[in-house]
Amino acid sequence: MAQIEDIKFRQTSKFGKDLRQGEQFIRLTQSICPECNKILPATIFEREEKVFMRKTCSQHGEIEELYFGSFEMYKRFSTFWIDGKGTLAPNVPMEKCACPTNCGLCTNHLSHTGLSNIIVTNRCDLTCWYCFFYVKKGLEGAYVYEPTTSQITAMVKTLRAERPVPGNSLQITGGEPTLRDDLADIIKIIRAEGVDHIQLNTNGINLALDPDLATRLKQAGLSNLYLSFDGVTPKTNPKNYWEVPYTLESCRKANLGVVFVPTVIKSINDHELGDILRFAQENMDVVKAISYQPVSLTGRMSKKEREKYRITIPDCIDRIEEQTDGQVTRDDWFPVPSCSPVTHFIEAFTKKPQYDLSIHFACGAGTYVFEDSETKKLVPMMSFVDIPALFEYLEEKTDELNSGASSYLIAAKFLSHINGFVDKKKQPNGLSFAKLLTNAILKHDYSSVGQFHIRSLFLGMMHFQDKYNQDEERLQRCDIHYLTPDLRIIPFCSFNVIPEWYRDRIQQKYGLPIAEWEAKTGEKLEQALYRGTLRRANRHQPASCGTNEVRIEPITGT
Amino acid sequence: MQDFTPLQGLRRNKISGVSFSTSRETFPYDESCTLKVKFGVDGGIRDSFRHEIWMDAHKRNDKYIRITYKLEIKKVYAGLALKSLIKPVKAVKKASIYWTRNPEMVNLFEKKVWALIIDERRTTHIPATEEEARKKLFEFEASFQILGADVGVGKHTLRAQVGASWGKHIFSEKGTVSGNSSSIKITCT
Repeated sequence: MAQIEDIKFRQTSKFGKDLRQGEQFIRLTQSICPECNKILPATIFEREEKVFMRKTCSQHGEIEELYFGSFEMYKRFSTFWIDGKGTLAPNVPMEKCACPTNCGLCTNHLSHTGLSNIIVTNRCDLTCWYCFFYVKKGLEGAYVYEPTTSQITAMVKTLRAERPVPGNSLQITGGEPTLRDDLADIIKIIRAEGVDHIQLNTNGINLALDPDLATRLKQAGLSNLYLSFDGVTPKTNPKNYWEVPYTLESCRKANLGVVFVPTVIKSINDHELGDILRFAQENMDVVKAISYQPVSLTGRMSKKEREKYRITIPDCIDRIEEQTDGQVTRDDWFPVPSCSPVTHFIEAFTKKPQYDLSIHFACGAGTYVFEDSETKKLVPMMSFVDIPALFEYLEEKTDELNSGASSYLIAAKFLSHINGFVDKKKQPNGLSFAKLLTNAILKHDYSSVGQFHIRSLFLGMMHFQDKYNQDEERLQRCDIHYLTPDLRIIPFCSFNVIPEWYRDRIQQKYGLPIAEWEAKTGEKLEQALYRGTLRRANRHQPASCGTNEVRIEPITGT
Repeated sequence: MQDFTPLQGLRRNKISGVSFSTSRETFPYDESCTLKVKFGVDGGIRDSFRHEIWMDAHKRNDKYIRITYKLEIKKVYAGLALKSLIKPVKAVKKASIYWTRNPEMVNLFEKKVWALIIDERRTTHIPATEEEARKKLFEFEASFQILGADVGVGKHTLRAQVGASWGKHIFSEKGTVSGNSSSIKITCT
């Protein structure tokens, strides 16, 4: 056999030469200049047990940014680096990879859509200082963007046309989507196109003001709320501290599940992550999950400002460990792509492509916690399931199936081994993890997954990128996508990180200038602003942890 | 993973470079010695693990390769390795074939695919060269501390029995290889 040429990968490391004393090289990637969007080589390195990114623009100089707050966690998470199936039906054919240009999805994208987003309006009833999304007067080039129902139908059809896995999970987002009067109709349209999971990204205020809205949306086909919830005090959560108890009560009546979504900002609300968890625990009958989102720093910011606000996934995980007195530890968390062994096993077993959460390991993390019925303490899944051993076992059996082993034989082996991964003494009462996994994997019966939500919470973490920490290796694997009226499917971290190329351009093309929108509708943009009705009423229990029972009094007119 | 297309003309797979050594040939009963075993997998599976094949494997969604290593150390009686001295070891090394954005790969290839190796201690390595990737994936090393009580007073002959296995991939059929080390002698006093 001919001698194999030894291809060199990074031996010279010319871009890594800028490493300084006390720094350890990890890998090279590409990023962008926060000023001019030029694609730059970027070095990922370790210093003082944290992971940083450094890049230099010939015009705008050096930019160094915290990338991941713990090197130890980065190493553990990196063992789950597995590329996904990508999309076989790209909307943007590309011969060569050119991220972050021409997103849509292109031929080179490595993940199919895990969660799609449709913006139904960019109007909002709040004006949060850190939000990058809502339309406001006084800004040059501000457009009101509200796609028509026929545009929405076309967008959903594009999602469903994705291959090998048609998109099946969709988030209605804004702005504040409840400002659209036809929201229930939109949900029905999406459901009619065959989307199984529809969630509503909202601040919850209109659901608090109109107690029947949750019921109407549930009846239209809504699966759950993705409820913005930044803290348990008025200071950390001026957005909806007073309103959330009403929103929860509406959802309780409608039997509509809620996911809390705190945007985590260092020095602002990072001291309340444990309290948010306790508040969710107190409302576990309706709150099913928390999705902590370390802030994405948009706009131009000085290094000093970025250091003040920047927080990453490991930092949030550590704060949760501290603030729950060690009930949920850093070892309980796994990166999102750690689901791959389960997905690949089901694929090998069924011989059909399955839904694969194949994002980059640094993008997100998650864990499940259960409430002990006696002590009321939180019991993470890791404390009664040997997850690393289970993953190893599934990978081994996947190899056997792919090598031609009988699926009946593997199923029999699986059934005889599954209990070995579960410590039944520590397993919460009423839960049979082995049965649940068996039903999901072998019988493809996911109804039993509902068992997970009996006195349990899914804790998730998703760190969207910004221009300072943007990593093309993460972008290429993004599975949270936007559907747009030009029938593209654009990764979140292109759409929002480079709005001048994506979001703003689309909203300009398909939106109306504010004055034109106001003339057309006869409304004023500021008419929709929330005036704090429920705050002034002030008769109810606010969203904090002082009580196990949130008492709601009827809302009367203002 | 798509249909299997076997590569032609590959070398037969085998265990190679088995090395078995002790830190001390003679040691007191109340002390310990360290046994070290090294071996590798050679042949077609190793030759196939190269950039050109990674590109094809990535394109055809065959992106994850596991090599399972097995190792036992046995006491030899009358030329036969009969009694296990340690609990049999099973360790897994993995390779994840991924699309890199390393700028030094830009313009080198149409698809900038590389392999990262996850070793048996669950540590990730991004190898600098293809050869380093092959070494990290196809070579295995382990050491064990044994006490006098594990072997008993007297002269002992030890041998390592080693093996490796892997599943089917676009570049290889599933395979299993095994081998033995030379015997070593230790004396516990």
